[in-house]
Amino acid sequence: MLATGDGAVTILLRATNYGLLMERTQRQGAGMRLVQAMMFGDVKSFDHWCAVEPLRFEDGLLFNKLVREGHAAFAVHR
Amino acid sequence: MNDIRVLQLLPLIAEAGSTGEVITLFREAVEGLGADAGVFLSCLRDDATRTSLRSLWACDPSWAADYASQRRFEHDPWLRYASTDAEPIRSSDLACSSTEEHAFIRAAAKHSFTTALVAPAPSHVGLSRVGVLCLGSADSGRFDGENYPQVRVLARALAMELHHWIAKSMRKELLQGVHLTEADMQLLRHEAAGHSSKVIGATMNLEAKTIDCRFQRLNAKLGAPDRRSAVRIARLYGLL
Repeated sequence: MLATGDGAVTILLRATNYGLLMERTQRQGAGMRLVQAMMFGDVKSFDHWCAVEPLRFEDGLLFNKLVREGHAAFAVHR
Repeated sequence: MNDIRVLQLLPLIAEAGSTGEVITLFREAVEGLGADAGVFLSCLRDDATRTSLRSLWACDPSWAADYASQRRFEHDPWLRYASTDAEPIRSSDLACSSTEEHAFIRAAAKHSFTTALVAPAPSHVGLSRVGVLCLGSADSGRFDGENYPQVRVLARALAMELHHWIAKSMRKELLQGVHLTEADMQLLRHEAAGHSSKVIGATMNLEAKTIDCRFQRLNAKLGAPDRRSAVRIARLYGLL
């Protein structure tokens, strides 16, 4: 589980038989929570998502960790 | 459209053992319905201040990123429609009610939702839990063909199956997190029936004060401020 310092965004990556599952939870101040789940069948589609994920600007360190973990998960299941 | 394949996939959704499996089935159903993209959203309103949106994405991930970063859920015309109507509708027949909703439609169009079929998934708890399936296509006439009546029916069925799966998975999560006992469930059933602590105590051979203490523990487990709210949460998650 990867989380921003303030806990506003958490991302869970899990390697499954169907591909890499990503669950992103975004908490808004006013009691709103958005949970998005999607699957990545290959590194290319994962990288495509990474390229647009807002975290890349908001938390560079966490974003790099996210990319590394995603790539590692694909490498293990190759 | 491969309606036979979609019919085969529908019953598998309820049996899906993981989010990964359900998204894979969802993606296949989207393709079977002749759409380029699909998103399913389930909106749960715990009370007046807490809203939880669970969503499954079978589309270009950049739409998911845009939806989150631009907080599109605050002006989502498809979700709004599903909160007021139960009939599937084409996006071309859906009127936007604000400039933000127009912006939403323009943004969605950039991510294979040039045209969309919006299929609401209502629930027995009314507006407290609403689901909506959005099938999208970059082809503006995709949902105008003669097979639209079939797509409409299958989209409605898909929306209901996905909504059922999400509700089941949320119930499972809640139960794992709070460890509700049979005695807790009994208390909730009594409260739902409008019984006082005195009446419940008499039924369970316990003092009314003991019942109050048990309710306090139960409320804390469910994160409810009072026993009435605890019953509401239990109903919302399908425990009662």
